[in-house]
Amino acid sequence: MFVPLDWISDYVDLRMTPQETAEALTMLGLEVEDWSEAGASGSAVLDITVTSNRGDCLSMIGVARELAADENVALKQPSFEMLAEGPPAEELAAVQIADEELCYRYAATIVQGVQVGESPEWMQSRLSAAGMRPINNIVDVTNYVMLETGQPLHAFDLDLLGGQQIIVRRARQGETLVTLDGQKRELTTDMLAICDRDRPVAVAGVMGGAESEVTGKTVNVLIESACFNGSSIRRTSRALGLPTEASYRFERGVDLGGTARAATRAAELIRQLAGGTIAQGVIDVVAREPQEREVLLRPQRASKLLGIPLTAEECQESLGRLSFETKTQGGDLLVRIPTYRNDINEEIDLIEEIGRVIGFNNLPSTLIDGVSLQGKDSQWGKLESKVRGVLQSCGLQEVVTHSIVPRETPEAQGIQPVELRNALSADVAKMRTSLVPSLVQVLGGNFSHDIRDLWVFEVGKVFHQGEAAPAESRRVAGCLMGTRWDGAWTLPDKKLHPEGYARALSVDFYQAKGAVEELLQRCGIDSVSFCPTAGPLWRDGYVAEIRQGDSILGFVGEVRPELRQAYGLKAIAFGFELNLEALRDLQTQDLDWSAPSRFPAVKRDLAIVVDQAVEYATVVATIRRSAPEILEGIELFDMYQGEQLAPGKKSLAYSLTFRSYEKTLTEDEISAIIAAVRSALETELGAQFRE
Amino acid sequence: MSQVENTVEQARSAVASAGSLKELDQLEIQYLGRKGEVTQLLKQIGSLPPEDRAAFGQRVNAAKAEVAAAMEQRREELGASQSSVAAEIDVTLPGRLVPRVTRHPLTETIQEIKDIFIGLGFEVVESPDIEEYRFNFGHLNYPPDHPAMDEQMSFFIDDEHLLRTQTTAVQGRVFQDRKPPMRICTIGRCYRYEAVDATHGHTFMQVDCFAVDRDITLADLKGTLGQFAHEMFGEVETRFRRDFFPFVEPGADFAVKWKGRWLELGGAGMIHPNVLRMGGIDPEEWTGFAFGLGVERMPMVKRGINDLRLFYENGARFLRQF
Repeated sequence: MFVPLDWISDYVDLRMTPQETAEALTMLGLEVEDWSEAGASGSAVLDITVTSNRGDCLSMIGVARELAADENVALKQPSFEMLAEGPPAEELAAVQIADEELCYRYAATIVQGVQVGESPEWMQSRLSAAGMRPINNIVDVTNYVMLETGQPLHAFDLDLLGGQQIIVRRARQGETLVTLDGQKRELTTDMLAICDRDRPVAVAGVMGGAESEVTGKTVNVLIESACFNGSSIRRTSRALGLPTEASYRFERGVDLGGTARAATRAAELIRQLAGGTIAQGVIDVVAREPQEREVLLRPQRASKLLGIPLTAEECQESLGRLSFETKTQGGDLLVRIPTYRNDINEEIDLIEEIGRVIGFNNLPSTLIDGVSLQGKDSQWGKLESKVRGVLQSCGLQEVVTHSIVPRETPEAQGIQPVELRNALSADVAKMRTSLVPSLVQVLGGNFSHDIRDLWVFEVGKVFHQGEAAPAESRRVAGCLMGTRWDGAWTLPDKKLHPEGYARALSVDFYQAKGAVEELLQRCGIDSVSFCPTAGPLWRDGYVAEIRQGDSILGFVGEVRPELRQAYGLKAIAFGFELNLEALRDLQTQDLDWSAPSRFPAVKRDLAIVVDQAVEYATVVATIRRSAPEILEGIELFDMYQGEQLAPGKKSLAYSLTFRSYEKTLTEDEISAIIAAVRSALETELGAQFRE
Repeated sequence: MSQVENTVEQARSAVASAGSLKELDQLEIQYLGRKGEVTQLLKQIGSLPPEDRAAFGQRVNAAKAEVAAAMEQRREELGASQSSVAAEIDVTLPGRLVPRVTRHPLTETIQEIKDIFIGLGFEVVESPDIEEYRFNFGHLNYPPDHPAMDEQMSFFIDDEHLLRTQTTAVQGRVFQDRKPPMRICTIGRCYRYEAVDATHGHTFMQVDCFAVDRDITLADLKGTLGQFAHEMFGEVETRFRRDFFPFVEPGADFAVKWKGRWLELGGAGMIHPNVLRMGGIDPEEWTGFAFGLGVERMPMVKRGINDLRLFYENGARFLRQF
């Protein structure tokens, strides 16, 4: 709301500079977003944001009242007297409230014989400075009094009201109205309408109708000043897509005690500016009596909540500055709430008022005085922290992507996505079911900026449509492209590590798997198996499901080429996604450990040739089964398939490490074990041996 | 010049021009070693007349001490100024890259926030992103059809669910399960139906804390947030000005002064008695405070990041700087 300070000065003596005024209002809760030294009217204008509970401050008098309380000076009200010399108003028009739930009060004044024309310069400039366009003297007065008092008004051409009647009722099915903006509006039965004898002439509290509006031909006007149910006005305004100055105020609460006097103030200003004669009296139909409620305030309670000692007198003083009348009752105060303060309902609201007058900034700062409580992170927080640490140590960069994804994003297998009922756009349309597409998008975005080597991971939530309700779960996913050695100089020495050099050049399935294995191991999850599977996000034939027993922990594989191409990622990429719920359930908090053996290890290489279909895991399991526990480690150091071998065969070279906890192993012992292993491999897998 | 003087002179000059400790070690062998040039001079002693032998021996020993002293001095000089050493390798070549990864700046900030509040006795809890209307609005004292909802433009899922617009929604859930005293902190994503630009996003992260105890005051709220600001931003001025949120009364806006401007970090206040009542807590017996702060705002203020979108775009060149 734009507030010209010269206008405010009509109601309060301002001793502060515009900047000081802006700061004072901001601290009181009327935030001044911006202010200009001199607006159109030659006065400083403040742009104030009024919080939604303070409808009473959507007016010059309301803002002035706050400043008067802050400065501890008197508020000067304008005159609400009118010089009425015409016939009794009730003889000229009739008003009826047919729906008392939605209309609390309807007041009308009538001015006969007006001359419609331009309003005077001072009024036009004030309206302009406050952000309203001057129209004619009648409409300008209704807008001026609305800005002054906060009470929305409407002027009808009395002669265009059928039967000179006003009936406030719900619209009937099929009724329409052309509003002042020229739009034809379809009304529904839950909308409140202002009607004449025959038809709607205004959407109550929102906008008047074009057919009964004040024009150059208007001679007699009826000024409407009413109080409507705010929720109903809000629903109507939203249904029609028609937010107005009037609806804005009704939604936030209008003073039920000020309805009639706003109508008299407008009639008098019209008489002064447009001539004519005011009909005697106000037609004032009251469905709900304005009441000054009484709320009990205990100074002790105020002290307890604000954290400073306060006496009854001090509370009384603070509230008095805000025009609240108080009387003592025992040690407490009985406070009368003015009708314009719709926001004050109970004691706590008064305590806020006291705090506001004292100034929140002037209250002391303390720390909680009471039992000590143990601060701690959540179980999820701890697990996620650990997961982040492990993946960082594997060389993966953390990213954070949006949970709301584009409509065409592919889903994780067999998951029904949660769609937004009101998508912002095709790009902000539904909740992700997997982190993988978002990570592929991150790689694609970086690829387009010439970043070729990037390994990323994210820890976050995914969502799915459950049977009864939408549900969410937690995931960690990674996506890798290029190499971790992003620069020639930094590559491992090619001569010393020919194998390492080749592997470092490009990420592959096993690099992604390595990160997964490291993560699982650090969470103390073993006996995990990787089984071939297929899924919409992964390239067929290059993906494994990660299992432990019956639980599926997640997937690791090559990103489906169509998926990465959709995100402009031209490089091959590998990824994984793990279910954090499974990790939480299966993790071992304190990993087992054992003291390292003090005896030396013995290493033996074993090169075997088997059918290509025989899996690494099968070979390892066979070796394990046939060797005693002193077989400490099995490391695959070479794998070969090609010309040197018979078709359909592959060669696997293992380095076996043996170590005992009790003694130094002898040559004979090792040879016996190797013989047993060879025999098992030969009979179970048909292995041949390369010497 | 005698041969002894000659040898000493040579040795001194060689020592003086030695460029490295390694070179000095070789000179030590060359002159003072068992077969070194100074040591070798002693062999001449046999060819000297007996009466000269003692004097010659003393001269050689003195020469030996002199060269040793010169070497010691040079060794110290070289040790003091390594830069004068000629290196065998190019030490200016870049170091081999170790994995260059960071935590995302938002994760980093969240961890920092958690650490501060955990230190103040708060327990971190989790709550869902897809929230029920009643927790997001009803339990937070929003009257139906109230314009306060305008600030909470929502993404709707179905008749009962929406994407939470504020992490404060956790309060109703916690009140179902726990009894005071309590100090709770939750951090997570919130969603608003808003187009994306440099300072707005449809998604943002919020930390929400609340405490309920027998004698919690507005002064405690000010002290707790003041302590937080001190830990997060260092010595900064803070400001509490009155503001309105349906679930707190009195309600305030919390700001810190950064480079001469007030930067609003979020809303705060005393938990509204209606909220406590709905949570089955007697507001006469217990009082509480609550506040919700924007997470992105903190690194934006501290590090001068002027575009919210950078956090969610995940450009490697941006992320690697944190």
